[in-house]
This record gives sequence, structure tokens and C-alpha cells, in this order.
Amino acid sequence: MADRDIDLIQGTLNILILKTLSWGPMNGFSIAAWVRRTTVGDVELEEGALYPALHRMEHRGWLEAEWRLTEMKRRAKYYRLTGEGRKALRERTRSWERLVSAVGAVLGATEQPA
Amino acid sequence: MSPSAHDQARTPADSPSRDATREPKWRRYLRFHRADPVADLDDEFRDHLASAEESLVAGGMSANEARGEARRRFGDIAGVRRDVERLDARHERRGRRAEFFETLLQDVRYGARMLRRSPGFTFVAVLSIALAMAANSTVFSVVNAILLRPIPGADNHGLVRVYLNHHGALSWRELSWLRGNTSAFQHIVTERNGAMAFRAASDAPNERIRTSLVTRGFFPALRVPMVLGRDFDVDEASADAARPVAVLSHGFWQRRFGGDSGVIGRVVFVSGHAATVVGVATPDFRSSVVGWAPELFLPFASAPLLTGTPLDDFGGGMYSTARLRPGVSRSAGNTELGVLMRRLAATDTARYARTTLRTDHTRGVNAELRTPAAAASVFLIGMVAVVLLVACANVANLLMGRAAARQGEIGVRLAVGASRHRIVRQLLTESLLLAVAGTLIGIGAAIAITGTLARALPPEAGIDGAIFAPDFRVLGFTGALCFATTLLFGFVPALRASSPQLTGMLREAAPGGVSRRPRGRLLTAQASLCVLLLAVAAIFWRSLERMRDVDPGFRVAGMMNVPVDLSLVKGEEDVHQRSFAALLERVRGLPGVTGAALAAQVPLSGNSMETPAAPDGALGESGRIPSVHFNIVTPGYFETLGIGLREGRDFARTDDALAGRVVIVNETAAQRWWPGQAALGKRVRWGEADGPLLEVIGVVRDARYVTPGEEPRVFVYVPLAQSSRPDMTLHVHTRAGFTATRDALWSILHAELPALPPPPVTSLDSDMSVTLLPVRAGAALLGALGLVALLLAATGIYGVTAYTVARRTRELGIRAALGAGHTRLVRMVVRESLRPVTIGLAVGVLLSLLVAFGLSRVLYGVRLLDPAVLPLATLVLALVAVLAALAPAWRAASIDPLVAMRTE
Repeated sequence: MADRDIDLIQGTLNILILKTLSWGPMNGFSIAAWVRRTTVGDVELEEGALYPALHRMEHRGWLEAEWRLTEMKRRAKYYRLTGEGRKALRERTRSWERLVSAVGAVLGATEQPA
Repeated sequence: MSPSAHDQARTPADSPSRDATREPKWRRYLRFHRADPVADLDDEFRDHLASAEESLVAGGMSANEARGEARRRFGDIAGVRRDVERLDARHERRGRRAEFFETLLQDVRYGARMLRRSPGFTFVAVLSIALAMAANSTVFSVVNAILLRPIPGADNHGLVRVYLNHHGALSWRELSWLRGNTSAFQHIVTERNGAMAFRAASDAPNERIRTSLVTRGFFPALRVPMVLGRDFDVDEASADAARPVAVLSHGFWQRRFGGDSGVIGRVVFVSGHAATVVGVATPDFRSSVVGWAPELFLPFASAPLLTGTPLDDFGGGMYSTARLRPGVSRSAGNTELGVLMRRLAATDTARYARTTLRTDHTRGVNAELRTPAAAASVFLIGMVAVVLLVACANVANLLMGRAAARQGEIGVRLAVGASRHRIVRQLLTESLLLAVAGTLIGIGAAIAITGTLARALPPEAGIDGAIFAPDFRVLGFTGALCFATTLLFGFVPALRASSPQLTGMLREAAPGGVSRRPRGRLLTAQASLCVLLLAVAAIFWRSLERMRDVDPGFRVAGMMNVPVDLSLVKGEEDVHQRSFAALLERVRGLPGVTGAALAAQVPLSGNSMETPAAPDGALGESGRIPSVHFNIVTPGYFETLGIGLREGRDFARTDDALAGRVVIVNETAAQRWWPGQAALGKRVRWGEADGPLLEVIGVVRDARYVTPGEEPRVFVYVPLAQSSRPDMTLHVHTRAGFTATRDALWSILHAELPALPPPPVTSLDSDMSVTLLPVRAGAALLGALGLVALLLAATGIYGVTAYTVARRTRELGIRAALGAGHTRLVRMVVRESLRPVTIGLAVGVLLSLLVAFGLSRVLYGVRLLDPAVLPLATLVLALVAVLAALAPAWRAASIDPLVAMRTE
């Protein structure tokens, strides 16, 4: 991964995770599964890449974690959006939309620059 | 543990984890105490892979395929784990740090509040620490200056001093030979300190300034930059030597030329010769010799012109410094010096048979002074350490008393669940606050004291007082001492204050009953250290007095000294001799003057001269001659100073350069050199193995020459007419008043030698006091330290005793109720309060005896126990203890038993 791509990918990943968790607490696998289902496989995600992002957002206070015991008696870590996290999601969504519309305007341009 | 290890334990029947139940409480409790991020990460990944497999199997995949697919989708497990662990660890570290500072801030705030609430306690504690810290910081500043500090303003990396044998000076000839043959050293340079006559303009009056003659490459070797102009690089072999150039010290430039940048190119007059100012040195730099602060740097090339001495005759008083070539180690430099020395020795076997060359670091004073400097340092540090201990004992005692008073507060905090660790930390923070406050005041005092010390140095001494200013080393040392002190006085009281048993017991049992013993021990320690300090101070004081009282063997009363340095005046040798003769003639004619003579050295002034000399035929096998102290004098010297002539005659005018060379020896020399024989007519080998033979024409009484307390030593005198020297001191014995004689001397000097700047006129008494300066300074310092210790100990003893007795009010009330008489009670309390102090005094006296025994080998006239000081100190401390016990005991014994028993 080239260095300059990291920020973009990281930012995108963060926004996907935040959005996913806005439906309620989930563990890492469920987040990955939900993203894959929703994008119908358009986003090719290495599931492991979720974890640095999850932990970083947890340290930052956007997420909080909670340990649960599955029916198979496995310990599972569930992430939940905090107030900070919701605020971050709103902000990121807005800037993402601005970016998309700006890039869209450029790509949809029909006039050649003078 | 990797997640894959756990995959084996998974069963295909595991259901999706979506509806997981909550983790049991006990597990969270464990986590609360000991978070284990590694195990957590294991669990998290394991859950992910298992969930993925379950979902794939549910979608119809075989268990084996599902396992592979789940791992493929996860990606690089090890890599992700590494990344996450790093993130978590960083987060953990930050969290811990933030928590630490938060707690610290909280403790500092709380501590400051508690200290503000008891201003009396805080004042005494901070004052105790400040006094001790001021003493420590000051002493360390001095030690730093004389032992640790490298040459200021120079680049000391790769710089070494070079000595002949242990600390001998390289002569000009040796230096130039080395310079021409070395490959390990980039530069070998030398600096020679002196004084010369200076005029800022041709018609300006002469003044005497401190100068340093420095060899070629001196400034580049030390990497000393110029703030103005350039440095000089005058080849000593070149003809440029005849047109001297000069570099001004920054201080002299500011003082004498008002920092005028137009000074470059200006012509000044040094020893009567025109010299061009070419540069101004950087302000940080003083000299390569620690403590010396010259005003003018001159090229060695001009030395023959300015001093009249040919280059090849420059021997002693030259301080050599060398810069190693980049990449060459000091040991390689030493090795090369060894090789060079052997080559040099081959050129002159007799001279260099046992000579070695060595390098030394550039820290502190030169090697010749290092041993006494180190000894003095160790002694002083020992003394101030004792003061610090006394202060620590004081504060510890106060803290323990306070802890007893705060048992309620601490008990409550323990009861509501504060850990003991937490309480100790809080109490230590409070102690640290005290220590920091005391240390800051102490450092401020040290800066003031060292500044005063620097200003108190006589300017003629040419000693640069700035070297005593505290630098980063001093600040670092004092800071470290501050923390050490905190632990020393704060730790035990904090442990005791937070001990659950103690607080419990104190709540129930009789107050004051438990904590008395350790505080008694502290009192004992304090009293003994205090006695020790006072005893040592007294020993110094007495030694000083004894030195002052000693008979020096010459006349002191009515003696006046005038330095007459004809090297400040242009002239040939015979002109000097004639000037001196004319001067003496006129001075002897002054009213009230009963004698006048010239001498090269003032006895007991701190200066001395030595030269190899031995009775003829008594040379050792090695051909080396031991050095003896000597003086160069004119006829009439012995009579003027009242030194009795035992045999033979005084020098006469006829003992001049044309006559046979003569010498006068003291009684010790006569006895040691020719035991049982007449010394008169014997011959003395002078200077070198093949040096001239001097005939003994007289024997004079012994005197003290170098230090007042010295053992009788061999001393010889040679006549000025046979050993020319431009720099002499005029001794005058007069019955007239000091001022009248001084003015008369000045007018004679002005008439005879108009070019000579008016020299200082002093009494022999005051000149001698220079030798007493170290002892006097030591006595003053120790006296001050002793008083500080006495003050601290008195405060400590009073505080603790008064407090302890006050806490026994209830017990005393019960005793009174049971019928104990008033007087008996008071007597009992006073007796018990005195016990720790008495033991301390006894221990202190024993310690003092030990130290006095050690000092008796170093100091003159040390008596083991001083009759005046020890009983006085003992009395004061005992009195303080009695007074402190008496008032509260009286009060406690007098009040109504019923009231007393209700007192807490």
C-alpha cells in the first residue's frame, strides 16, 4: 500500500465502521459481514484491516468495547458507538458527500478547460 | 498464543455469536484489576475466525474449506496483530503517563493546601532545607569550579594539558621541539601568565595589567573565536615579532575601551612598545589556566622584546595545552609523547634521564593544585553533608509530629479505602514540595553567596570570580540532592504516618505513647552531628589563632612592603641594578626609617621560589639535586627584618657580579648539610649538576617562610647583585606612621622611576594574612555551618520536646490524680526529655575526637578537644531541651487532673 493512500483508505474504513455500528453494537466479524453484504462485494475488504481501525477509534473515544460470552462460550468483543463517535460519523458523512459531489462535478464536466 | 491454535478446539456445531450473553461479573472484575491486552486480542481474533467459519459452514461449505476461507478473508493475521498490539501499547503508555501526572497534580494541590494550613511548620521546614541547600550548593559550586569545570569558552573535546613528569611545565625549547615532531597533535600551545605596563596612548599614564603570552595557534587550538577582528598567528621565528600585536579580553575591551568597535587597529603601548590591537576574544573565554583572567593576550614571538628574556630562557610558569588530531585518542597521544620523550632524551641524556611526558584532562585547576583542591573539596563536602543530615533530621522530626496530629485525617482516608501506597505517595509529594521550595531558596542564596565571593576577591589577585557561578552541573547536583533529601526526611515519616496499626493504636491508646522512640533517636543523631560540626569549626578557629600567634622569626610590626617591578620600565640589567641602589639610598634617608632592603619574595605571603641546590660533593647518584626554597635579597635585608646573624657576615656591596658568588644559609641548612662542621666557607652547588659553586659567607636564624605552621626547613639567600631580577619587593622598617611613609615612598618612586605605575604599599602584616586566607575562610565557613547546625538542632529539639510533652498531658494528669507531686512530675518529664539529647551529645563528643585525631595530622596546633566550644555547644543544646520540656511540663502538671484526662 503506497503511503499516500493510507489516509484515504483509513478514512474510508473509519466511516464504514462508524456507519455499520450506528445500527447497534457488533463484533469485528459482524461488521465485516455487514459491509460485504451491503456493498454486494464491491468493497474488497481484508477483514483483518478492521482491527487497527477499531482499536484506534476505541482509544480515541469514538467507540467503546464490551465483552460478551457467545452461546458457544467464546469471549466476544462488541463495539458500540459513543456520542463522540456519532458526532464523528455525522461530520465524516458530510465531508464525504462534499468530496463525492466535487469529484462527480469534475468527472461529469462536458466543457474542455480553456 | 496465536488464534489458530484455538481453531482446533472449535466444533462445527458452534452457533453464530450474534446473540451472545453478557460476560459474567467476576470476569469483568478480574479485568478491572489486571487488563491483559494480549489475551484479549487472542480472544477477539479467535471469535472472528470462528464466527466466519460458522457462517461459511452454514452457507454449505465443508469445515476444512470454511477454515481456509475464513483465514484467507481475514488476511495477514500476524501483521494485523503486530499493528494492533503496537497501537494498544502506545495507548496504554499514554494513559499511564496522563494518570501519573493527574495524580501528581492532585497531590501537589492537596499538599500545598495542607502546607498553607500550617504556616509555622512549613516555614521552619523550608528554612531548614534552604539553609542546608544553600551550604551544599555553594560548596558544590566551588568544587565544580576547581575540579570539574572544563576551560570555559573553549572546545574541550580533544583538548588535553601536557605536563613534564607529574605536573611540571614544558620549557620553550621542549615545547618547540615537540611541536616540530608531533603527528598525533594538531596543536601544542602554551600560555604564560604575567603582568606588564600598559598605556592606551603614548601620553597616557602607565597602568599595570594582567597579560598572557601565548604561542602560535593558541586561539585556533582552543577553538576560541574572536568577537571582533582576528586572532594573531605570529611565527615565533619571524621578524614580525618586532611589531607586537595584541588581542583584548572581552572584559578589558568593555572596561577600558567601552566596547568601542573602532579599537581594532588601534596602537597601544605594552612595556613601552607600540602594539596593534587586532582582535577581541569571545566573552566566555578567560584563559587556558583556570581562575586566571588576563586583560591582554600577546604573541610569544614578542616575549623577548617585551620582557627582555630570550625565548630559549623561558622555562617555568608555562601552561601547555594540546589538541589531538581528529580521530586520535588520548592514549594514542600519550603513546606518541612517550616515543617523542625518548627521542628528546637521546639529545640530552643528563637532563632528561628520568623525565616523562603525560597528558591530562582540561577540567578544573592544573595538576599541581589538584591534590590540595581535592582534599579541601572532600572535607567541605563532608561538612555540608553533615549540615544536610541535621536539617533532614529536623524536618523528619517535624513531619512525624505532624503525622501524629494528622492521624485523624489519614485514618479517615485509609478507612474510606485509600491504599497505603496512595497515602505514602501523597505524603511524599508534600515532602517534595517542602524540598523544592527549600532548594529554590537555597540555590538563590548560593548564587548570591558565590557572587559575593567573586566580588570579594582582591582584583590584584587576577582571579576570575565568574568560575564560581553555579552552572548546569551545580543545578543538576542540587536538583538530585533535592530528591534524595525528600526521600531521606520524608520516607520514614510517611511510612509511619500511613501505617494502619499505628493509626489504629493511636486512636485507642494513650496519645504520644507510640511514636516517641524514633523521634528520640533523631534527636540523638541531630545533637551528635551538631556537636561534631561545632567541634570541627572550633578546631579550625583555634588553629588559625595559633598560626597568628606563632613567632615567624622575623619582624612584622612597622614593616612596609612595596612591589617594585622594573620590568614594567624599559631598561637594561645594569640600569635596573643602578635604579634599585638609588632607590634604597633615598628610602633609607627618610625620617623614621630604620632599615630598607629589597627581596624577591615576601615571607609567608603565599609565594615561594625553589631551585635545586645541595652542598658541594653531596650529589645523589642520579645526579639530581633536591630543590630548596630560597630568596634573593640586598645587603641590609637581615637587619631590616630583624633576622639574627649567627655566624659570618651579611652580603656586602662588594658581592657583585664581578666578585666570587656567595650564599647565606639558615641554621637548619647549616646543620643538615654540614652536621658537626662549620658551615662558613663551605660551597653550595647551585641550580644544576654543573651549576656554579657558591661560598657560604653567613648563617642566619631560622624563620617561617612558606606557611606559619611549617616545620623548620632548609632556606638559603643569594645577593641580588649576583642574580639579576627586575621584579623585587622593597621592605621598609619605619617608626613613622603608615600613611606618611607611604606617601613619602610614592614620591620617591615617582622621582626615581617616573615610568613606573604607582605600586600598592602594604604592611607585612596584611601580606602575611594571605597565607592565612584559606584557613580563615575555612574557619569562617565552618563557624557559619556550625551555627546553622546549632540553630537547626535547637529548633528540632525544642519542637519535638515541647510537642511530646504536650501530648503527655493526659498521662501527667492521671499521675497527678494518683498523687504524684508537682515538682516530681516536672523533674521526671525534664529528665526523660533530656535523655536523647544527652546521648547525642556524648556520641558527638566521641565523633569529634575521631575527626580531631584525623585533622591533627593536617592542621597546625590542633588540640583534641577544644576547652571552650564543646562545653558551650553542649550547654546550649541541653538548655534548649530543658526549656522546651519545662513549660509544657509545668502546664501539664499544674492543670486540674480532671481537665487533663479529658485532653486529647
